[in-house]
Amino acid sequence: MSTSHNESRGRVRVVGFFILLIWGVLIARLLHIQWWRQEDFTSIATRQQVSSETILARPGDILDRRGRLLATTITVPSFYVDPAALDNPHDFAAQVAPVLGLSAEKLSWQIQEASSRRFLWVKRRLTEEEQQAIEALQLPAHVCGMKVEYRRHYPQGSLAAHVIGLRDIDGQGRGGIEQTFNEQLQGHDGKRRFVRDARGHVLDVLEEVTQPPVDGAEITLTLDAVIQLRLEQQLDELVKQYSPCGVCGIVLDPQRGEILAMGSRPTLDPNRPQDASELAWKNLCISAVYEPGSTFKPLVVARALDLKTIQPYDNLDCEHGAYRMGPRVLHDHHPYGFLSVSDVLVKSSNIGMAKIGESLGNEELYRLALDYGFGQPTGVELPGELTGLLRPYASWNQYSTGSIPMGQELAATPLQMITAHAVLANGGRRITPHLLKSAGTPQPQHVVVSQVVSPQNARWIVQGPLHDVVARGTGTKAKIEGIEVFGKTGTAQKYDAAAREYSHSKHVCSFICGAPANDPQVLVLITVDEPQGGNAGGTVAAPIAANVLKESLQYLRPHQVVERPLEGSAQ
Amino acid sequence: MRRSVRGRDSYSGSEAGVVDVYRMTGAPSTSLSPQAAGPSRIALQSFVMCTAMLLAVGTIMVFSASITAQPSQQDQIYLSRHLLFLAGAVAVGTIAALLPGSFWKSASPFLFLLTLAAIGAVLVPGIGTRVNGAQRWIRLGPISMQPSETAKITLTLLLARLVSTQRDKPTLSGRMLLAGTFLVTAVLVVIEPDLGTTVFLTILFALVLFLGGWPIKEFIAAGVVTLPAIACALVLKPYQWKRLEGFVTTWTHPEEAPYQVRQSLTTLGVGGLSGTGLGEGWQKLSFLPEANTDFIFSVIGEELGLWGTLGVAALWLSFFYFGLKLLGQHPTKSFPAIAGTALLCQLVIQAAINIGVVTAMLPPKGISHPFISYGGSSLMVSCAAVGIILSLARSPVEDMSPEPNEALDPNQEDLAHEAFTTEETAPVESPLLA
Repeated sequence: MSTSHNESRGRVRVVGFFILLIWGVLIARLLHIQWWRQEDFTSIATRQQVSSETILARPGDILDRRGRLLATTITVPSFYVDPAALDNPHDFAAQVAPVLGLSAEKLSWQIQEASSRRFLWVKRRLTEEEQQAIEALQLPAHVCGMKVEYRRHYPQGSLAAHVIGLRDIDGQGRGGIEQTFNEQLQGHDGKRRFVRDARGHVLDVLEEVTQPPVDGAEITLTLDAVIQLRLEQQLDELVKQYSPCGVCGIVLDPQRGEILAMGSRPTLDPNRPQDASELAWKNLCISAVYEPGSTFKPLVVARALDLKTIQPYDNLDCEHGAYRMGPRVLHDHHPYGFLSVSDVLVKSSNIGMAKIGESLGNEELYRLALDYGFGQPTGVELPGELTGLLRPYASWNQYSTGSIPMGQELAATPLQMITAHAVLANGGRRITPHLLKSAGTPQPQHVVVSQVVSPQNARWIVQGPLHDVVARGTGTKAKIEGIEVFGKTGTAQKYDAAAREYSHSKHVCSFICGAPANDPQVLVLITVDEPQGGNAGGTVAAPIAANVLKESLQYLRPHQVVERPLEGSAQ
Repeated sequence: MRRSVRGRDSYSGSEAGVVDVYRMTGAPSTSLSPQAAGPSRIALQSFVMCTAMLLAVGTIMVFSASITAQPSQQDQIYLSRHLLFLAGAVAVGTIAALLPGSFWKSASPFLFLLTLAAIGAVLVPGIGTRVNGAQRWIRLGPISMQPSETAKITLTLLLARLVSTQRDKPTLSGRMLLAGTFLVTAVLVVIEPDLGTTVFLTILFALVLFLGGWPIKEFIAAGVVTLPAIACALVLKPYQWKRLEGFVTTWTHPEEAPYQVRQSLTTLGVGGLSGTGLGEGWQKLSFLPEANTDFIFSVIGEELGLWGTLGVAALWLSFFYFGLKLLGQHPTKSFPAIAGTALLCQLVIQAAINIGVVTAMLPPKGISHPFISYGGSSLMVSCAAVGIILSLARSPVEDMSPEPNEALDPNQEDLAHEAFTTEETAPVESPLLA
């Protein structure tokens, strides 16, 4: 009995020893996990718990020169659902869909499709009515909710749509200032790091590693919303009268190169880009290329005067309407005998211009085209600006000598054209036209590129022939009582690519005018592409340009408008 | 009351071996007299203290581990239900402790048959409830129970009784009875299927035989037979095989470990030496599955750190040490010694297996941590086991020393006296003095 008992007592010891051994191994394992490899596991835990989220930066506003909002950013609620937390998608959809104008069946199906996910947008960017209707339903908070998102809003609607451009659903600038200054407007998104559980619920925000967002800069343009509005109203008037295939207009301060207004038709509403037609996206001011026609003539005359190949009071023989240059015979609309230099411009004589061209020669003609900025982008802050068409000098021939002075054989955008005329209006300086007044920090107001024409000759052209064009020439419809207006008409035949010749029915009419002649403050260009029922710049474009000019001047400098002192200029 | 005692008497009287055991258990009480109460009292107090501390740790950790990322009523419900279970379990344990040690021997066949019937009922469709592909639960209204848990106790008691009655010279019929008892239980549990519990019951079977002084050579023979059988079972059960495979992967590529195991290791590791602080763990909030039941030990590791986990280990080792001390006065081959030691080892081994799973040293098998995990069945069974150990430890000394009776109310004292009166009448032999 005793030996058996001792042996048995030994067995209890064996069991005890084994159990101790097992626990010894477990304790060693605990030391291994919790002490030796602690850091490995901590990093695994951090990886699965901590995640980051971007905090959206608010895109900056775009203002006109007087601080009126052209583009802004508003917060809008977007409605989401947590499909995994939803017990009955069908009932939910039936409740929510009618309020949001969605199909209940489709929504129910979408939620069921995503039933394992934790997040699904029901509808983004709700209207205020939709938001209130959803709130009135008093849906359970753990199933669905609202998230605030930014939406770009253009409070002026389609006003200056082509200049401003728009911001797409991803917050990227598309076209216009929105695209050019995308980076400044966008700002920099911030970052938030937070602890999340396996189901995605945020448990804690880690403040020390949160990077605040930098909101986009505010951009102030040289545009004036009131002048812009007047211009666009006039363009609409033109469209109504002549139903052209395109119309555009620019109002420029020739002294500083600031673009006060820029409009193009057809247009679009950036708040509803989906409704826009294909053609409406094009800003004709910078992307349409037309032969300038007669508006080019004063530029040539100014240079000829500078080079003294002609004198201001020379008389030119206009050959009674037909002049042979080599193999080619040039014609005037009306036959003229001798015309003064001034009258060549006033009556827009092609033969007179051809003779001035001959006096300059191709080389000087080419140089002056370059000096006025043809064939190069003006440098305005808009994407998609075309350079126009200036053929390389090597391909010029004796035709060019007659064609160039009357504004053929080269093509330019309307902006290039008005920029070239600004040279004459501001005393001979070529200035970069610009739209940006400031972007957070003050910007250089204008850039003097070069003296292209002597101040005296520039002033003579403006106050003499160009003033006379309006006073007694082709642009009499642009007369404004009490204001000394100067201007130049342009009627260019469109080149018909199919027939390989100038079309007789398709014209581009333009009129460029400015005032006051003794100190030009405003320059207006209106270009009409293929007007129906009218084909001369002087009849189609001049009255409209004059209206814009008058309203701009009234608005900018009310004291100079003698007859109608303060009306419509409350600003 | 009298009727019940008499009933028990008649039941035990029908068994041939009972008298023999009574002789055994009576022995130390007569020989050791009052001095034996000294050390056993300290052991008793320490043992109960360890149990209470484990239960306390469990309650606190169940509360902490039930917190979710979005606190709701649900989190509180776990604590209140745990406290309710705890009250029930302590009551069950107290009753078990107050019952005389002889009761467990005499009632063991009856308790075993009851358990067997319950396990059988689980397998009947309509009575048993299927959870995760296994039929383990009986649902009675709001209460569900797992009969295979109870088998851990009743099988141990019956086996201990069978072994103790034929300890020195196993007869063929004795062998058949032992083997049959075990096999019937094991087969029923395997059918559920609950392989984890089956393995655990097998360990218990071997443990009881070993403690009962079974010849060593027969253990070796049994090992030679059963190991290939286990291998076969693994190959035939693809779902067990997958678990084992996933477990092996854990050692070579921890990142490819099953989700649960990976999260369990991460949770333990995050705690480091001192832990994140009570209630401040992140992992338990959702990454760690079954945070308040099978993987509660990981949460202890995260929130209380290495000191916490080692503290729990120390509690378990103390529990084991004082438990052995408590039972030490019994002759080793007596029923109280075999049954008590087996139950004690069972609790300590289950805790070890649970920690083994949590630390990825064993494949995940769904074994809870006794006293600490949330869950009614587990708590009840663990507390009942402690109660039975106390009852068995106390049984022989009871009539000699009055101290343990202090805790009893008059009615039960009466019962205890009656129970031990029957013992006194039994012939006494004293192996310790021999």
